Amino acid sequence: MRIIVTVKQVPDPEAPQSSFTADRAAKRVAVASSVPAAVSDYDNYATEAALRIKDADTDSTVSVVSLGESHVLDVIKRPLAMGADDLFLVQDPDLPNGDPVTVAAALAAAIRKIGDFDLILSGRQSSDLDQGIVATALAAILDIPVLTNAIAIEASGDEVQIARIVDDGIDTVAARLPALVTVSNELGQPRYATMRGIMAARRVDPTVWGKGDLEAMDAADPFTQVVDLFAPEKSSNVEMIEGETPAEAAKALALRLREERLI
Amino acid sequence: MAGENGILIVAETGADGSLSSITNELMSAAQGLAADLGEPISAALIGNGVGDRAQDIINLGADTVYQVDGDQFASYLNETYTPAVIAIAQQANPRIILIGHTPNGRDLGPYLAVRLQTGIASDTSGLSIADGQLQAARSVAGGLFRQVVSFPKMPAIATVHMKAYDGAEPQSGRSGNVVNVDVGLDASSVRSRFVKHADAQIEGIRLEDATIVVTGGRGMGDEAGFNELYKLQALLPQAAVGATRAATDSGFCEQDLMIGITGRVVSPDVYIAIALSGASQHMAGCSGSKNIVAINRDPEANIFSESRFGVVGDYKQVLPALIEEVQKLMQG
Ligand SMILES: Cc1cc2nc3c(=O)[nH]c(=O)nc-3n(C[C@H](O)[C@H](O)[C@H](O)COP(=O)(O)OP(=O)(O)OC[C@H]3O[C@@H](n4cnc5c(N)ncnc54)[C@H](O)[C@@H]3O)c2cc1C
Ligand SMILES: Cc1cc2nc3c(=O)[nH]c(=O)nc-3n(C[C@H](O)[C@H](O)[C@H](O)COP(=O)(O)OP(=O)(O)OC[C@H]3O[C@@H](n4cnc5c(N)ncnc54)[C@H](O)[C@@H]3O)c2cc1C
Repeated sequence: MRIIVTVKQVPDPEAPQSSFTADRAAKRVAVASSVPAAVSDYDNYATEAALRIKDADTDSTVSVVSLGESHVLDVIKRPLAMGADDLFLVQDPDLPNGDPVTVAAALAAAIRKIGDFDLILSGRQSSDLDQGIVATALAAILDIPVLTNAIAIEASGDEVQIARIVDDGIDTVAARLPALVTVSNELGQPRYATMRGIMAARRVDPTVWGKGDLEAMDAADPFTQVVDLFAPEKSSNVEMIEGETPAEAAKALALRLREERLI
Repeated sequence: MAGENGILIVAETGADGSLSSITNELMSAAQGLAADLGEPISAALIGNGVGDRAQDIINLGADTVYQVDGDQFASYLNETYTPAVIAIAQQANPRIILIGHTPNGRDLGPYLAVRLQTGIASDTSGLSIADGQLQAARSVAGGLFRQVVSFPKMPAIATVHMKAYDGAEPQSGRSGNVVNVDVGLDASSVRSRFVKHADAQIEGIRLEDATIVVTGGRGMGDEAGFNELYKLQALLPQAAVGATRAATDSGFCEQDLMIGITGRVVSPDVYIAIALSGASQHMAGCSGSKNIVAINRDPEANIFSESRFGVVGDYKQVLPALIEEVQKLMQG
């Protein structure tokens, strides 16, 4: 099976909150240079899902495609170190600022250029912007079926079947291949990169495409525009409940909650 | 298309066929926008045997309900619901389409946007009209910032954060139009299929319906520590237990207790946050709570700045004493 995983490079979302500030003029989040890059969280799960299919069907290949202004090679090679086969980087300083549908169109162009595929795996949403739009839009542009928020995936023959959490339980749905599936963290922990994997990843030269290498790279009219970005005001007025001992404080808390008719 | 007018909401029904609470929330979001625009509200109602729900939606405030009814639509599938909404949008020709940011709404929205050649903003929680068009505010970077998005094209599509709006109250006997829409879906073009649905195995009440939520984080230490939370929950009426992602990932409890940007969204009267730091991704799922109560041994923990009441201390000492006192209060 030929699998493509879409992977976004993001600023490490677990970095201290103070390293992120609102650049109101540029209408985007300014990230301190001390913040390391990371693979967007759910894309690690998408990679894991691809590798599980490959574990079972060793003829499978797993290609990774990422689009960004630029990439930190040691970071974006993590899926390779986990066991993916090759890496395609699309680099354009303007495109990542495009709206998600424009980003999806560029990814679609890259994937068409990579060639035939059976299955595309993506994260359910990115760690920084959390839109959860790009992957589903990508499927629509490629005109393939999409199944989202997979917590378990089975691909066999010409079909992929997934389980997904819905409001009141779990749905099982299936799609004929080629299809796109977005992956959620309930799938289970992504594997670690092995030493051998890291060494192998070092030897992989990514294919790098820039503006001009792909059709549809020019975002003519944006579909959405960010008109403002700001840090919401936070006013804290916490009432700290104290006591001689933690147990005393707990007792005082219970009484206070009763006084307010909260319990 | 030109002459776009009004707001179309995409209604959702639950497994039992009744309208989901997100439908009421979308309706109240739409009412604010409709009042500003002086334009009508319509609703898309899609399913199998959902006809009786049309009047329910009219009672919530819809002027027109566009209904797609048939066994092809018995369960949600992107490939059947997208053409259904498109067929409805062609008749309604709305300026704005509002969809719930629910598992199915998130699945539908972007596909629909691409098909309609228009823009979408997801997980929005502040909708307004500027210069006669939609503006949508949403959180980014796990809730650290707010982004305001405008839409150069119509219809503007937004998925709306669950619980961002109080649900509209029904007014019985309102009048409105019901229009049956034929999608003309070619079954052979559908490449996906619905296999089955399994109801969630929940003991007690749903997290979303609880009036008190007791949530534990990584600091609970292990499963046995986490299980102490159930002692407090059992004493309180209409209470449920939740968890942070650190707690579920560490295996303290089931995954589906996770609250946050990628988990459940709750807005109880009281949210008791124990041994959790208050990461923005977690707060995105509980910041609508009326009263947050924090117990944490770190006085600098962010959760305190989001709380109404706080106790600094090791939960191993605080929680047993709290349970004991609550038990006394409940008995007396
Ligand atoms: C005006 C404006 C301001 C912006 N500001 C910023 C900013 O401050 N910082 C910033 O990083 N971007 C910014 N963007 C860029 C842009 O929104 C995103 O790169 C793009 O829309 C992806 O959206 P998302 O991150 O929410 O991805 P989602 O839709 O949440 O991503 C879902 C999945 O799609 C795949 N995917 C998404 N993006 C990529 C990618 N680039 N390469 C490979 N796979 C991908 C991944 O598998 C991911 O898990 C801005 C966009 C606009 C419109
Ligand atoms: C893309 C993305 C999505 C995410 N989505 C979610 C989500 O939906 N929900 C979610 O919850 N998280 C989510 N996270 C993770 C989130 O960023 C945090 O890592 C997580 O919420 C932290 O959980 P925590 O507060 O339990 O753990 P920590 O941040 O480790 O906090 C533990 C707290 O417990 C306190 N503590 C320790 N021991 C004790 C004790 N004995 N007594 C009292 N206090 C004690 C500590 O002082 C500390 O404040 C997401 C992250 C990413 C990147």
